[in-house]
Amino acid sequence: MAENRFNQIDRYVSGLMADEELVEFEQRMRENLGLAEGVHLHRDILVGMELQFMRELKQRLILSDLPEKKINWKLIALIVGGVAIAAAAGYAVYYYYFS
Amino acid sequence: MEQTYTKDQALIQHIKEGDEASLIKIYKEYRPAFQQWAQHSYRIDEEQAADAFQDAVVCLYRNIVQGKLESLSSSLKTYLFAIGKNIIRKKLQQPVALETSELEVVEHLQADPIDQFATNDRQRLVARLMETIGEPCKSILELFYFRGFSMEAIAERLQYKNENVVKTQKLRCLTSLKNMVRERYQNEDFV
Repeated sequence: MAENRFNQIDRYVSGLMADEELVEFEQRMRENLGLAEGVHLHRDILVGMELQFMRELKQRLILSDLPEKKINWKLIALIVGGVAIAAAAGYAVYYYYFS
Repeated sequence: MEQTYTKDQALIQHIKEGDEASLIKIYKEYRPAFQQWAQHSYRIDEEQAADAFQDAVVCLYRNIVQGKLESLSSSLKTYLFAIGKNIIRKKLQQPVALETSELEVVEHLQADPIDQFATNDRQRLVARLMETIGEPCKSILELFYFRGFSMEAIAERLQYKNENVVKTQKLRCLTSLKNMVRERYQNEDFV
């Protein structure tokens, strides 16, 4: 029952009701304030959701303006090379003095 | 000219099918020209011009997915610029003379700045609640209400067994959102 009412409100707010059903539904809204408030709430929820999705899409557009971060392979190679040289030097010193 | 029309139509079709990359491509292609034109024509700063153009692209997206833009009567660039011009006019609250071809574009289409979209506190509250609603509700509601996907397409994309499962989940999500709104209103801390 609740699902049926929910679906009816959803179809009404989304403009998917056929003429006859629409007239009958609007008549019920006039007679039933709870139903009318349910429709207003549903409409506000759809607008609020859309507002948030629009904001998020706008944010993604703004983010697309930022330059892509590229991996600095040169820097990585220098660090790895430096570590390898330091390790080799450490091993050489260890080998020279302790073996 | 024919080539531009075909290219624009293809982009619209891709966006309709859920390809956001095509929208970003349009955004990147026309943003510099729009900003330059808007800054020069309306004496607004770079940030204001960028903001208006971002709103215009979001409007373009909505018009496409809601089926308000099936085929173009002008180039996509003209269409976007007309929406952008209308948005600047509304943001500055100034009357701006639109050309006849532009009037055709904005008259029957959504062309409002995003910050003027909500008309009451409850709508703004719902927008804030959407930040906390979590998955899978966020994706289902976005795909259905904002991106115009069918239940079947949502089931396929989010790997649900069938569309009935999605329908039930969507109902749960909306009911939960309604309860959150009612709860906030009862506590009167929504402002």
